[in-house]
Amino acid sequence: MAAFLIPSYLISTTLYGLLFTSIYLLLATGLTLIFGTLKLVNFAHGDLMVLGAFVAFLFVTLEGWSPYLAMVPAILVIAGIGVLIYRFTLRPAVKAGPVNMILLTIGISYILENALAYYFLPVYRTGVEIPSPLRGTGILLPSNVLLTYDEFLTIVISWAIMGVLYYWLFRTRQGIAIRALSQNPVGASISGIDVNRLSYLTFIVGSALAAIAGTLYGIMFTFNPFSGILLTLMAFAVMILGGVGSIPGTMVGSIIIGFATSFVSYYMGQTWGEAIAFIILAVILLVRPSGIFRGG
Amino acid sequence: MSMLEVSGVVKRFGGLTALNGVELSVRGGELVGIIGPNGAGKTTLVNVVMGVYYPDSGRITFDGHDITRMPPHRRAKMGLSRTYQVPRPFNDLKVIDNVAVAAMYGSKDLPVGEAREIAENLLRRVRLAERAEDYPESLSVVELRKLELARALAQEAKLVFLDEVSAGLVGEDLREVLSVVRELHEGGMTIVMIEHVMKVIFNLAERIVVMMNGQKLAEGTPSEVSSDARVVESYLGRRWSEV
Amino acid sequence: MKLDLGSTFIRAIAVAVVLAIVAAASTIMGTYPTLIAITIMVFFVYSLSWSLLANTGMVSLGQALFFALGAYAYGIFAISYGMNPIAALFVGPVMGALAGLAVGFISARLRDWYVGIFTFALTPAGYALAVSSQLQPWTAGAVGLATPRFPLGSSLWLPFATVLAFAAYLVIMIIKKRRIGYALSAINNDETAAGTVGINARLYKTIVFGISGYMAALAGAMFVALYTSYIAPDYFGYPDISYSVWPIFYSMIGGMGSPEGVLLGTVLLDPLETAIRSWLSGISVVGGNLALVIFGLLLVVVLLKAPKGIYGYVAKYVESRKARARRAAEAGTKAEVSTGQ
Repeated sequence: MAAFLIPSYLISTTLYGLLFTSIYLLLATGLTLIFGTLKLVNFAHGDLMVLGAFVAFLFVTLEGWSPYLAMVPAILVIAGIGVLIYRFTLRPAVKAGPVNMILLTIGISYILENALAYYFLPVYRTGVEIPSPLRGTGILLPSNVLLTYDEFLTIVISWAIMGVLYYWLFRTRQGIAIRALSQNPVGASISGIDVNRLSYLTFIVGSALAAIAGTLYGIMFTFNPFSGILLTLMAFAVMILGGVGSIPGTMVGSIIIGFATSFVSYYMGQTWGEAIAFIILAVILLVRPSGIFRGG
Repeated sequence: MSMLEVSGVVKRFGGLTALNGVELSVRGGELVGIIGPNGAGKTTLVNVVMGVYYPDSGRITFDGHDITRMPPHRRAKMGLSRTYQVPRPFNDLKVIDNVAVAAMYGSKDLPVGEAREIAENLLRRVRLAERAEDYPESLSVVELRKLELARALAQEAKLVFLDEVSAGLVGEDLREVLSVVRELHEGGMTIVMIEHVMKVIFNLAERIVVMMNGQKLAEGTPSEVSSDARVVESYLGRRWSEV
Repeated sequence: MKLDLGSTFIRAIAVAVVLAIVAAASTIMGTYPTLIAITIMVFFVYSLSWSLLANTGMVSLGQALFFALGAYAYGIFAISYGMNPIAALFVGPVMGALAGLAVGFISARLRDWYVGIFTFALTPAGYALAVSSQLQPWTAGAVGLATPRFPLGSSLWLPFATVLAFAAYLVIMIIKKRRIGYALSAINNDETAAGTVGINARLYKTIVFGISGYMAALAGAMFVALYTSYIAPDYFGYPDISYSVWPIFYSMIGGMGSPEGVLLGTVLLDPLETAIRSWLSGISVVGGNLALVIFGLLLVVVLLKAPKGIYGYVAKYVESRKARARRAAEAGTKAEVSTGQ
């Protein structure tokens, strides 16, 4: 128990907590945006993130780009795939009911994971990490803990993007229209909002967030084609904890789960660290399924 | 000695106060009508009494028991049943099974065979017998309403709420449904009819309650209510007072 | 559950015949087909467990939780506690039933897709427990557990599995025919209205989860006892969700509205999947993954185009023909009556 108080452990666990928080935040925000606005439950969201990581990985290893630059093609590709998925499978299925939609996205997740595995496994076996020129360098914190530049950038970029997102959703016409759509779909369409275009836009933004989260994750951690499921679940846990459709809720949720994952991982091992998010999820579902904040 | 007692019930949905301190008392064997404009809270009142929602404050007593926070299925067992304004049939069950399942689980627990017999009889009574083996998706609106009625009756309840059971019905169909209601009333069942239109329940109800803005506006016999100044002014309009 | 093609008796006989033919043909054809037939029986039971839940309005995306629980319980009871494997086969799944009741208790309170997420989220937890160091002595962690040979003449394994499969089918049919079956259908269609007519939806949903948990666990135990003789933590459907997806797959493509549809799906797809997967695996190391992509696509297409599955499609057609015939007959009678005036 005294180990808890050793400053260097405390600091590095907190650091990791912040790191997880940032990444989950991006991922879950994309998910909640899509769900809140389009009422779409997307089980393949985590897989989009992994695909994004992989695209960035290819650009870094094959073309020699900087990982942060590689985020751009990752965003483009994933947004494109997202639009295709939305247009050809998800949109037609909305009328089939939420159950069929969930199953549909599970099917899509299955396809994405195994398609990636087909190309990935022979070459990369168990997993890859996106190499970064900044690896190993960083700022030295008290107690000899190293905050690498990559980690620093991840946190900064994540929160910067949240800031941009906030601005977009609350200060621009499009963003406000999207929020209107999520709160009152019928009212929104009557007021002349182009629901169709906005739906595409929402999906693109959500997928882009997943791609960014993926690239950042790929720089920090190893990933493989099947990493997507766990990530999807984490995103769901954050989303449900914070309250579906609520972005402030997602922030709170990601902080709770990010830090819980980090601390439990450290003191009880990685497997339990992964499990804690689900334990929290189970408890929330039992006690207050609507989450900490209600949607909006 | 009232069978159903609703006192001080308040129900809010976010910023909207649907029920604002409703008082209602129904005696056994009565046929009470509840009328009021859209948004008056009539259906919300039924939903709260039936347990679809729990009130924010107030009390509901049925047959001497406090049912304010009792789950819906237990209220059904105690003898409450209702029809829905927009019919909600069980689409994967045949018409006869829709009615039978209510008999199986209503106020008594009956086995499948007996329940189906009761269902057959009820379908005959509402003149829907020839559709017994069909599925609800092939039924017309009128037939769906009759199905709603038959299903509510299959529970052999002590008190049944009929939520706008006459809506959209005219002529022969309307007469059929109303005559069933009259028969039930004569047979001793306690009935609360929510209606939009005064004409339908004017000759049927012993007592009418007028609701507005989530509260009881007035109450009395049909003629008393139709000549009540407040009711005329805010809801019925001059024409009724001149009848 | 809208299907009424023929009486219960006829349907049961038909299913028994199909199962018998599958078993007999496979035995004649040789060892490998016999093994595939055993997996058909196992996955039939497994898929029935999933469709039971789905037909009560609960979509389980982590059915593998119970499957793996049954597998591990069987193994642990037989090995660590020295129970006779035949007994362990039936006692082990009780753990699945208990888990089902617990999961059901929570799920009964949740709206549609939350149930899916919840069950989905339980599978990594199950996996974590299986590989955890604390349970290592019983589960052998990530390495997996090898079980002793099932104490029955190996030529009897397929018949044994077939009998169990038929028994599972009978259980489902009995549920459908009794009061509870009507209640489950009502709950599936409109839970609120079901409450209005006196059905305790939460109680029934919990019970159904318990039954489903037992069946899925039984399938898992059968899988180990009669097929693999080996238990691995990835039976929990994590990280590869296949074990959770197969029952969904077979049920939805075959037609989950009826157990006969589920049988159709399993009999058609299980051998197909095995064949395609081994063919493609033979061509390339990642052939298996390619096969899964194909099946994922198939699932997506079916969900979009024929959500009620093959059986549902056919049944709907037959039902509408019957209804039209009925109405024509009535019109004929009415015409007679009015002209008879």
